[in-house]
Amino acid sequence: MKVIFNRQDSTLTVVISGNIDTVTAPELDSQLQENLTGIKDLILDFTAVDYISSAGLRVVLMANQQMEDVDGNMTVENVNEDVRDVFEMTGFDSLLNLK
Amino acid sequence: MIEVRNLKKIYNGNAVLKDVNAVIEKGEVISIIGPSGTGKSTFLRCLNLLEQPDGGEIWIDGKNILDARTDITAVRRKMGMVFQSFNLFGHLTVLENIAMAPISLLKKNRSEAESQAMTLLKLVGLEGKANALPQELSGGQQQRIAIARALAMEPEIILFDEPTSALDPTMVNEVLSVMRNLAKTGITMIIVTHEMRFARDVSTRIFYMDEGIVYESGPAKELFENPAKPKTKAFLRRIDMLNFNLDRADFDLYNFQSQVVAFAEKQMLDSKQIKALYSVLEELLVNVIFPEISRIDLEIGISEETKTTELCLQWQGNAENPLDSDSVSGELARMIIKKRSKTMTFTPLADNKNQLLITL
Amino acid sequence: MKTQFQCIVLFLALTAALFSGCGKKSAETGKGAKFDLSKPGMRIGVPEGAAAMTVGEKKYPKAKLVYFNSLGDGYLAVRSKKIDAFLFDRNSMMYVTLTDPGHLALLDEKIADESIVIGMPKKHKKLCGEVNAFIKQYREDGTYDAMFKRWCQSAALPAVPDIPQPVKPTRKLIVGTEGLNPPMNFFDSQRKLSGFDIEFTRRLALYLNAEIELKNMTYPALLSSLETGKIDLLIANLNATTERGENVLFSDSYVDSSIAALIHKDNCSSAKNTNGMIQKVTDLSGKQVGVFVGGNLNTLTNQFVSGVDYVYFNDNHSAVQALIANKVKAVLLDEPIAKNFVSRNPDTLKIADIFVEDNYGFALPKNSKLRDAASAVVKKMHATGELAQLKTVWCGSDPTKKILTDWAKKFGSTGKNGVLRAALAPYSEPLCYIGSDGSQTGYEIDVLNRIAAELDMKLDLISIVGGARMEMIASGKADLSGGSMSITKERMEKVDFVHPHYKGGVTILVRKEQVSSAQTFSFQKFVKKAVADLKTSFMRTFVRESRWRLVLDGLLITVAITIAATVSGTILAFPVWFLRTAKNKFVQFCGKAFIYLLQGTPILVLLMVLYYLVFASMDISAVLVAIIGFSLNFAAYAGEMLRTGIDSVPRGQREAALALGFNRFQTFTKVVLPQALRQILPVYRGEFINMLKSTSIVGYIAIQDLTKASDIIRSRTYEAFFPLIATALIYFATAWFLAGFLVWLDNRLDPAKRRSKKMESEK
Repeated sequence: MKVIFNRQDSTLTVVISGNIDTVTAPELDSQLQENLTGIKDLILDFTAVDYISSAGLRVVLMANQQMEDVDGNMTVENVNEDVRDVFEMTGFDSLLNLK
Repeated sequence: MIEVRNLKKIYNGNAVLKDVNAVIEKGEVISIIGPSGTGKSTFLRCLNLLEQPDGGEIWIDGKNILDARTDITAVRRKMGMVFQSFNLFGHLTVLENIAMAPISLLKKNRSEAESQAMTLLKLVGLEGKANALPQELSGGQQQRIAIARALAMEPEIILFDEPTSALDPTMVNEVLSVMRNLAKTGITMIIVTHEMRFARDVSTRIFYMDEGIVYESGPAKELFENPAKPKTKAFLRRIDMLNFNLDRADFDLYNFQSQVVAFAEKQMLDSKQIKALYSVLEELLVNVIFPEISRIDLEIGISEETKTTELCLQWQGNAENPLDSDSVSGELARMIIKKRSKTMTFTPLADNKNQLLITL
Repeated sequence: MKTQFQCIVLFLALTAALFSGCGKKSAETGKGAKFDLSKPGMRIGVPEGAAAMTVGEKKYPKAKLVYFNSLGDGYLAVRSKKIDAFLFDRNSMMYVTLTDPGHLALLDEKIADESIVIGMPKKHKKLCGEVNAFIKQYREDGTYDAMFKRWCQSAALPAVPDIPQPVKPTRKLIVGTEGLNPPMNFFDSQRKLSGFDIEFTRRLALYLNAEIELKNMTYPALLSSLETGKIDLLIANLNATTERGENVLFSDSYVDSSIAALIHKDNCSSAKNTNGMIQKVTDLSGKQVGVFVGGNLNTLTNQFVSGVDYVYFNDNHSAVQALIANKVKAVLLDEPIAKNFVSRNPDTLKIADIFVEDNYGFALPKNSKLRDAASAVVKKMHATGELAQLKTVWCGSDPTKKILTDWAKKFGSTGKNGVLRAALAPYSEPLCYIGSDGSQTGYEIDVLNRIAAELDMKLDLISIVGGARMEMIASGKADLSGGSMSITKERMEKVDFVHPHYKGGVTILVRKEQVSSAQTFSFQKFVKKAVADLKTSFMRTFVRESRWRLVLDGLLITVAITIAATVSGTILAFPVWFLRTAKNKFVQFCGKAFIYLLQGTPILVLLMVLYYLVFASMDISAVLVAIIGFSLNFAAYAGEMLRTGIDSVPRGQREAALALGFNRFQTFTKVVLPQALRQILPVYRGEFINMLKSTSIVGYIAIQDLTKASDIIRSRTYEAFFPLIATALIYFATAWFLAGFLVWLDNRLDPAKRRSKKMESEK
């Protein structure tokens, strides 16, 4: 899994590619934590995300919480069918800002 | 009529038949099915001593044919055999092929034998080929004549050793229809075959051979609809199994998953199904099983025919269904699993064992 | 492409070089310039310090003299044409020409006289007298002649004979020699001094009762040692010149020689020797010469010339055929036989040379009781002149007189002393050959009849091939053998000979050079002539003297052997197959061994082993031996054929038959064998025909089959073409006819053919 950060003022675009599973989720989590300070707008670009498991969901949820805590925004963009299914299965589709 | 006790046959140090027991009554039509190399043909060939068993007894009409004093040619005359490769005599015409044994062995005179041969040819639908040579005929025609040849000796039992395996699919049916008609006449037939539908339609009983024994046997309808034993089931449903013995301590998720994916691809699951399986396994093992249970046996069965996947997990421990847990950390996982699965059955077994069966 | 081009260029270059070389050669010899040593500017080589040097200086003042330190250099210079001639002692150079006849020759003319003597220091006047006495003796008693013949007239250097040296010598003499002058004195292969001079020295030592110490040194050293008395005798082909004679004593001449000129072969002025024509025995070197394989003529000839390319024939007749066909350049034959051939082919053949004596005798087993009695008869006939009379009759030109005398009647012999089994090789007309009635006749048969009659024994004549004369004696199958058989040392080690009944000589038979007749070719004439020739050939081969009977008898034997061997061989094939496929390792090994042994032994060798060794002492018919031999051979092949055929029948066939209830034997005979045989039949037929043809070698064990009949006819008609072609055609027809049976069998077994026949008959 690869993560690329694009910061512009208080907007952070995170481009993730690959699978977010039990093995890779912690990595995503720690990298996010490092870069989230002072961000008001968080965009998670899921164009290249192939698969997500519950471990990944947790990381996404955490990030969402963190944005809410600072009255910020989080958007998850370009989820594919499989990822959308998982979001729907777990009710995340109503929880998250999906584009 | 035929009783087989503790039959044993060893090839190259390998016991192909370990301990075969069977009873076959007069008039029965027995189909022997099973995976390749499990000794089906060997068993059949032991019955007319084309193979010499290494142990056990075979009683035919009250006589132990493995006794050294038995006149084996007399026994064989009462049994006909139809081979996978037909084995018609290449130097004789069709008529001569059929009439040869009755003339030499049953001491019939030529005209009697030949007229009987013509009758049999009519029976198998090939009366026009009386003067043909075997090499001039198609496989299906040759096999039908082979059946006529066997019938010419008026046997009590006919053994069929994979009679259609060497045939073009287009010719299989002509032979099967002859065999179907034959079965109606009340003659005892023992057939080694791979034609499941035929076996089901025509047989009185089915022998499923595996592990060097008659693994399971029973009336045709019952065996096919409700096979009792797992291997039978697996064979019939054409389920292929993948077995794992997983330990929490050294569990490598990626390694495990790649094996599963390879297996699933072989079973021709499409990518969506594979992803679903992948997801269920990850959620199940990482978030549901291993938090509570340290070691499990996992059997993944994928039916090529129905494309259904069955996960069977067994472990030692308390009789608790891990999916019923209400831990927070596993909640998402459980959700995903439940949404993806068709059935989830938890069964406590004897000896402190538990089983969880999930079908996708 | 490039390499191919290079190859073509190279090939063309080589061909051009080859042809240009030839052309160059002919340009040199064909010039017609006479070779004359006294012409100014001739390059003449002479050995430094030798008498020949003085001769050259004196005799050829206008020539350009070249001085050589060693004889070898001089010879080489002639060979490579750096000089035109080399002068030296004739005997020494004769040896050189015998070893290199292709390039070197001696000029016929004598260049100068020589006196080859023993040198002694001036003080040994008494010794000189003794030496002269010895020389006188050794010339008179023939020792010199024998020595000269042995050393100076042969290309092969003999060894010094074992001459006993004095046990109690009364004095010691030091003899000096050189060792660089074969054949007079040289170092042999064991690096010991050998040669004419050495043999002479030993004989002299015996005569003088002296102990000899041999010292070798170079010529100048020898001469000075002689002058100073360091050596007592100089025995080294010394030429007595006046200058030398001033300081030393010379004995009388002990070897006759002269100064000769060694020249290159190409310069041989005698027109006779151009184009490699053969005129004397030495011309045979490097040429292909036909000779009878069981004879000794080649060994005899080798004493006169080396480098002959011998081509061996089974009988004289074949050799002469080859000569007429220009396949060999000459044939060695005994004199009367050669004359016989010439009289039959006066336009094509002639005798080139006659050399060496050759004696014929009948061979007997060692220590035979017959030897003395038979020899007595021959000696008597010789003394009374009867032998000479018989010879005149048989070697003469009147065929009506060539009838065998009925000696048995004349002597009233009833054969009460037993049977004399005589095996003769009848291929040498007029000495021993097959007559018009098919039986043996000739000079030797006449003599043999006489011997048998006088000894009151019944003569049983067996006709054999020449190569078998010795075997027949060795195996005990004959009491006597012969057929223009030369008495040689090697043979005398194995057999005893009756006193020779014929003294012959060795002749060289060659073709006469054809006169090309320029005739206009007419197709009609050609066809007419061909037809006429064919007709005469046919008459001669089959009709004359009812020769067709010979052919028929031979054919019957051939067919009988073939069929008998096929039948028994086929029957034998089954046990062979059984052994070969047995499960027991040892039994299988026996089967394999039998097969490999018989397949690997040539049938001729097998027959000869059986006839001459295995069945030697048994009185068994040769035809039976042939049948046994061929049966064994055939069985080996047929057994293997059976195995492959049976193995090729698919296993399923056996199983189907067994499943029906047939037992093993029925399965084999009704199902496996019929199908196996169909596979085998084509090969079987081929082996059968092979065997029919192979029977043509039974002549070697004295069976008269079709081929032998043809041989006999050929030896009588001296024709090659017609009898051979006719024989081949007869074999072909026989094979076709006999194999027809196998074709019938094939039809019976082929189900398709059988079925169509059946359907035909049902219609």
